[in-house]
Amino acid sequence: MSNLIYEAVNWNKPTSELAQIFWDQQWKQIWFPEEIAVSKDVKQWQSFEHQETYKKVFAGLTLLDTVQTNIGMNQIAAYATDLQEKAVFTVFGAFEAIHAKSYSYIFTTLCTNTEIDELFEWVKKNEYLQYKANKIGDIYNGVEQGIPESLWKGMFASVMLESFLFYSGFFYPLFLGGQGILRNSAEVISLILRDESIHGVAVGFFAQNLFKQFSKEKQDELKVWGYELLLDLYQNEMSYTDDVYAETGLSPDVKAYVRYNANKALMNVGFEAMFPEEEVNPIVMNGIRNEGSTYDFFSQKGSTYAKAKVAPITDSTFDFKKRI
Amino acid sequence: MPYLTNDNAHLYVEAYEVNAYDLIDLYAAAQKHVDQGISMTLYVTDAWTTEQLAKIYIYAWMRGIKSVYYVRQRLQTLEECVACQI
Repeated sequence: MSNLIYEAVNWNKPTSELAQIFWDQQWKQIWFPEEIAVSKDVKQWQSFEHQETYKKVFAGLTLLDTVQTNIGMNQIAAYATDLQEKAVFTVFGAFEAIHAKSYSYIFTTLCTNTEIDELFEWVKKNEYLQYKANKIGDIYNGVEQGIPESLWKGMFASVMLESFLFYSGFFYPLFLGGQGILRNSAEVISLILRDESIHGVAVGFFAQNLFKQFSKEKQDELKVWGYELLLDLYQNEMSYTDDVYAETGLSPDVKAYVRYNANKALMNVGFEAMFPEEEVNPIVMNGIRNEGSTYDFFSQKGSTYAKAKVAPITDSTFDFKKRI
Repeated sequence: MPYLTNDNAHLYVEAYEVNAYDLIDLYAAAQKHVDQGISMTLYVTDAWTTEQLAKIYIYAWMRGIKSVYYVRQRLQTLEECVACQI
């Protein structure tokens, strides 16, 4: 038996600058796919023209969320040093598992079992999808105990996955949902996106803290590594987009959106944006501004809803002399 | 928003920033003159606790409001959270 000294996590003493904030924000927005009435999309789905693209987009997202649950957040949580931050990463991992499961919920509602089986086979065979999973997975698996730069690379890869690679997929449901097509599935996506944006900011923030500890030479070396990785993933993403969106004619719009998010991913890790600013389809832009979305009277659960803090009702609750 | 311009923007207050109690008073005044129950929508933020929510419902009932329809909640953005911490 080993004779290590195990330390218990003490939340009474803040050891990480923002762990508590990220923790609170993530739990406050807990959700489950079953809360969204995806079955209301079934009627539209039956006459929907580009079912193939839609299904593939979701299957691709399932793979990324699976990798992020099983390898990504686990690795980062395992090798991060701060105990509170480890806890935050573990919670993020749990949400990734909910995301991955939510696509299956949409599939069961819209597709037949045969179709679903075919899709999961397609995931294994699509070279671009496998390329990005391998690329990111290798970096995750390369994280080693006592080598902070390998952890930083893992965090960088995680931000690339969550703030950049997801968006070629998110585009389609947001684009359609914004026009009233398959709105309930789009609602699921906007809830996923709301989580991913926390993850991207949080992991990016912790990565930046780690980055500051490296020497100037090391920082320059990692910067080159980072941009090279991004470019590599970007090229693959362009081919993936062409492959999946071919029948819809939306490729150019998706690509602009992918570049926009690549810039955001870079900013999350504290790097300069790489692609020039360009116009992104306004319907899709509206879909990612989840903090400001407004609701008509028939909207669903809505992506701005959050769990309220519980406070006891006392006699003073009924005192209306002081109204709030 | 109709008639909203840069010159008069300062006169507008977002629904989430209107005092909910004042809003209820306004609905209550109108309700007396309407023969059906008005569907009142309230606007709150995620900073509201369950106690505050209970209180606003009780207040609405006391003022003779017939229906609290939707309670719209605005989630603070992560940027706002982080900004208020630093």
